[in-house]
Amino acid sequence: MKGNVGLRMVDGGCEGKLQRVAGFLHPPSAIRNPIFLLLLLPLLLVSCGAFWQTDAGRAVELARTGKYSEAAPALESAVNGGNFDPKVVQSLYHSWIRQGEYQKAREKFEAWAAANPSAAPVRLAAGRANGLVGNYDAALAHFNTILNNPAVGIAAQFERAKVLEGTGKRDQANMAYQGIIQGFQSGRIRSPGDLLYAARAMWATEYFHDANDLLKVVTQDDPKNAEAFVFWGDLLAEKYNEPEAIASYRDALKIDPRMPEAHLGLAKTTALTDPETSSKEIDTLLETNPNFIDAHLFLADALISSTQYEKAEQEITKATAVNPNSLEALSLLASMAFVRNNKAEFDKQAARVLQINPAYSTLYVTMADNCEKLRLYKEAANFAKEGLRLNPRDFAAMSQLGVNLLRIGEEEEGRATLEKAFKGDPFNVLNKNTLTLMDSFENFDQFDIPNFKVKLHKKESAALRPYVTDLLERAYNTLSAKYHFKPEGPITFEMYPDHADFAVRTFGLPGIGGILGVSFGKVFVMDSPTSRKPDSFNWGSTLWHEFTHIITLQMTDNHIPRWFSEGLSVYEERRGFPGWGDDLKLPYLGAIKAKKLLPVAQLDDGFMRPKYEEQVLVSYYQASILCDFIDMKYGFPGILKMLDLYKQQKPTADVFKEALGTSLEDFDKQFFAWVDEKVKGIELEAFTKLLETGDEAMQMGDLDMAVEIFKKAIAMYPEYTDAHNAYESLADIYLKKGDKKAATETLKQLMTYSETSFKGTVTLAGLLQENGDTAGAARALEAAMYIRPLDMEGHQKLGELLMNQKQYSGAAREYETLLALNAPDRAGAYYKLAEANFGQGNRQDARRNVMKALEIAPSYEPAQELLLKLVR
Amino acid sequence: MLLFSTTVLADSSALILRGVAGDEEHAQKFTKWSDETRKALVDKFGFSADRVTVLADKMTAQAEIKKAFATLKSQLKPLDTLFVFFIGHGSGEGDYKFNIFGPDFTAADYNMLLSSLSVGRIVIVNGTNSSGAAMEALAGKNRVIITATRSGQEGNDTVFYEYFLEALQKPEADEDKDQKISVWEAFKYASAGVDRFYKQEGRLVTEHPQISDNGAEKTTAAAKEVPLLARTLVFQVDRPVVTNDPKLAALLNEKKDLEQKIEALRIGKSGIPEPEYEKQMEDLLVQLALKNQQIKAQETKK
Repeated sequence: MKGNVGLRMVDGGCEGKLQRVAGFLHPPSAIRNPIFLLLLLPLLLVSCGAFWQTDAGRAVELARTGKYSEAAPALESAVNGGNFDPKVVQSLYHSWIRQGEYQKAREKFEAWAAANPSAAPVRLAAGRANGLVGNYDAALAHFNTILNNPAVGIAAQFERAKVLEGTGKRDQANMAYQGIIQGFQSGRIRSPGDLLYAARAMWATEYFHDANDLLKVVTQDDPKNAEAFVFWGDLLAEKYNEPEAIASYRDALKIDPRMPEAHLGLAKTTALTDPETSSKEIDTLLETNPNFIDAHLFLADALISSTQYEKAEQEITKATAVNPNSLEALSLLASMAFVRNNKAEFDKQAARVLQINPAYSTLYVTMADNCEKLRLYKEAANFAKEGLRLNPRDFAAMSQLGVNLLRIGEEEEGRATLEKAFKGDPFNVLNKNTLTLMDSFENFDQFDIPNFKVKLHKKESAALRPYVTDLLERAYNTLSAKYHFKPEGPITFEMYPDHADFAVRTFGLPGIGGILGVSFGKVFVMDSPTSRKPDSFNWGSTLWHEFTHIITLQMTDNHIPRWFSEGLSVYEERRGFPGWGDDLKLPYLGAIKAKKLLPVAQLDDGFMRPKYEEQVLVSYYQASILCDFIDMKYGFPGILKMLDLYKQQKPTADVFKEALGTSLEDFDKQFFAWVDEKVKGIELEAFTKLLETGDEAMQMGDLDMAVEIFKKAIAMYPEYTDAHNAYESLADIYLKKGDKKAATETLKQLMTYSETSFKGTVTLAGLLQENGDTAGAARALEAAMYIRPLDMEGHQKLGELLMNQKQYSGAAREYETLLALNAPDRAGAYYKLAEANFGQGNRQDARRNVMKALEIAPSYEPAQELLLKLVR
Repeated sequence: MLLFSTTVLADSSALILRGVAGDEEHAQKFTKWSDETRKALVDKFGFSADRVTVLADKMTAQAEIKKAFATLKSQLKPLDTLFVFFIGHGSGEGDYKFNIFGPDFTAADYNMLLSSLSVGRIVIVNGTNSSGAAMEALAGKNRVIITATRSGQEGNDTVFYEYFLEALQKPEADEDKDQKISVWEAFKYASAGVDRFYKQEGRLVTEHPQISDNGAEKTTAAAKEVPLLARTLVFQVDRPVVTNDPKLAALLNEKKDLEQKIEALRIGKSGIPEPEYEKQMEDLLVQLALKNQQIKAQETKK
């Protein structure tokens, strides 16, 4: 059940009566006339009982419920015998089309139409069949002769309008749609089939609410009409109501379980949230209709996103084999040519599209969409602009332009464009959410540092600023030197304490659980450490990861493949700070043991079209160790060479050949062998047993036994640092036994693998400091601050350590943070900050801060002494 | 305070009420709190041991509490300060009650007991859950009332007293570095500790400490105007500084004079242009620093 069937948005938007969404008003729809509805209902329930008892009637019923192959022979026989009943003809049409027999359908209906030119239902079917295979003129020729036919005239008017629209004759199409709507409003259109066309005409002319209302009436009163449910689902999906759309497609499948259009609808609406289901839906529909154009194009689109261009081409070829003039297919060919840097091919395909339909702005929406998926945001914005030039009312193009302008740092223009797009299409929940988020920017502090424009929420800006700015500049200096590349600025960095806001900023929708940060090339954004449970992620490594993307995206003009970009970001995390970067977690180990790692050529699929739940994370890990492997075997210059070749848009096989001197197959062989070697000593069952028996020994008080067991566990699987890991248990035992040295070594080892063990890191810092290793203690505390940046005690201790080591810049950072955290001893913090400033040679700041200390505590002797030093 | 002639000195007394714990975990916690409070008062703040009374478990029966108040009545003088600490469980449905051995006293009962004393100032620190319900009954002139919660509805276990105790023990709570912990400083420190606790644990805040100063409307640690009584009342028992060195005495008086000028300048900050304020403040602070050096030098000479 769909429940409330209004076209809903996540927030606000459409309210009350439907009007033309922008520009001009129309009088209230006749659908809202209750008397009219009462008149309408009985007519929808009229049926002709006798018909269903004939052979043709039974065959129609078979077709209606998806038994196309059983229905078709009887229906063909009926039509061949002169039975041109609209239901019979339509059922035969659908039976053939839904099994992919497009040419047969076209030929047969053409022959029957030629022999029976006044058989309007046959001419309608012939017209539709021609339209499907791209013979638009032939289609129009059939429709034009039957526009006033009492049985199929409305259908013909609609189909004609559709072809006119599809070939760029927008004004004529609109007139035709308006004619149908007027027919409905005047009461001439009453049959369920015609009402469906009226609803579709409303949809085509942007009367979305009326279309929705009418589809509700049609489906309620003709609940066996699977097609109506599919169109309704399509409308709901277009207007961002995926849950209701899915319900509608499922309702259609209850009637006709094989209906390819319904399966396609499900595939599209579940693609992002449930890729496994999406994939199954496509497989199911292709079993029924192996030639389904839209299905092949859906697959092609996904293959282009994961840069599998040859396979994408194969899918497109299957579509163009049916309809060589398919605008959607040609648009995909154009976008593929563009991303492969084949200008001649791009020009050729774009020209073909515009020749068929000079007003086809969707060509550029497709271009922009595919550029976006490959992170070519500037190009996406430019294509969106082209789309708007062809059709200023293409709000999908307008929305794309707005979103991509935001991604390339053009905030003002982006916002203005989104506002216009939202006004034009108030159903667009992504735009709505983004605009709402942008309204909330007044709650953010915005400031510039040498290489970044930074946005931090006011409630945590003061506390996070010292660390964030320090790490940003450190990342910039370290990575730009390493990659010999200074990224183009200004680079915008944003941190969100509310994860839902972060999700909206990146995807336009809340609810994207696992992602911590996103880079767009000149803008990168991430969750604030306060947006998540304490110790659940390391904000320092996340920032480092995302900034690495800035470098690699810009270095390659955004042509770096997804796997390499993610791989290098995790690879750089590992080198950014001890313990950073995901190590061999259990799911990754499981995937390796189950031989689920992907060859390089398919690794983007692991990110873009995951086939199992953890595949995205497994792909991150695989990509990162792949980079480790390349570095180990070929050196970092090999990585730099690869980046340069990707910038030149060379395909991956060529990149590996030229940069590393290896084929992809050979590389895969060596890499998989290396990975297998890495994990061969890890027996998961044995490891789990070791942890269990170690815990038991601990509980029984046999500490020596527990030590031996935990040491074995660590030796077998040193990377395991998740819940109940051996390191923390072992360190606890050592401390109980008074063996601080061993505890220290154990925790040091933990720190090399874990980036979220706050407790272990702080304990280590204490042990190191006790042992006189103040530099080591400071390092450990710094690591802890990248997990819990608002931990006052940690900053206090670190400040003292850094002051003792005369690391005045670092110490100043700590005391600035303490002050921002409202440390209780404010006078003390100001004084220490002043001391650090003095150590840096910054007498002005030292004086200002010591004055602040004394203002709070005038008799504070150490501060008094410093003041006298400064003023004398 | 500088002493030259006989003067009646103010003294401080404390009553620590440790209520019924209910289970071992709470018993350990409350015992720690009451024992360490006593220790801080006697060892750090100079309370005479016989002026700190701890009533716990069976000794919290009504009769025992009344006996303690009778002792306080005979002990306390009009210039003295009484500190009362409530450590344990409270309940705020209807009248506030502090859970003791046997029938509980309400906040109104405690108010009656307190009102029977002839004492200068009273400071009540109620660290129990639902303690906010006691505020209205106990607030009044020459009283500072601190509660861990803002109302009787905040019935979860509180962490406030853990941080209040920390304030009594740690030098960080001495915000103005005058070597004394004022009631206000302790309250601020504890409030900040509560805030940090819930943020770090990622939990909803279920307690909101409040303070009522000298009968005024209750407020929090974020109060724009610092409550005067709470600010001037300190835990340190005021033992006078005795000297027979006239030069030192003069220097100490000059120091006090500078401190008062600094205070006055700070209070009048909003009425002075900032550059002028900074200049005047710096001048005074430098003078104070130099005066301090002179005092130390003079003390060394002795």
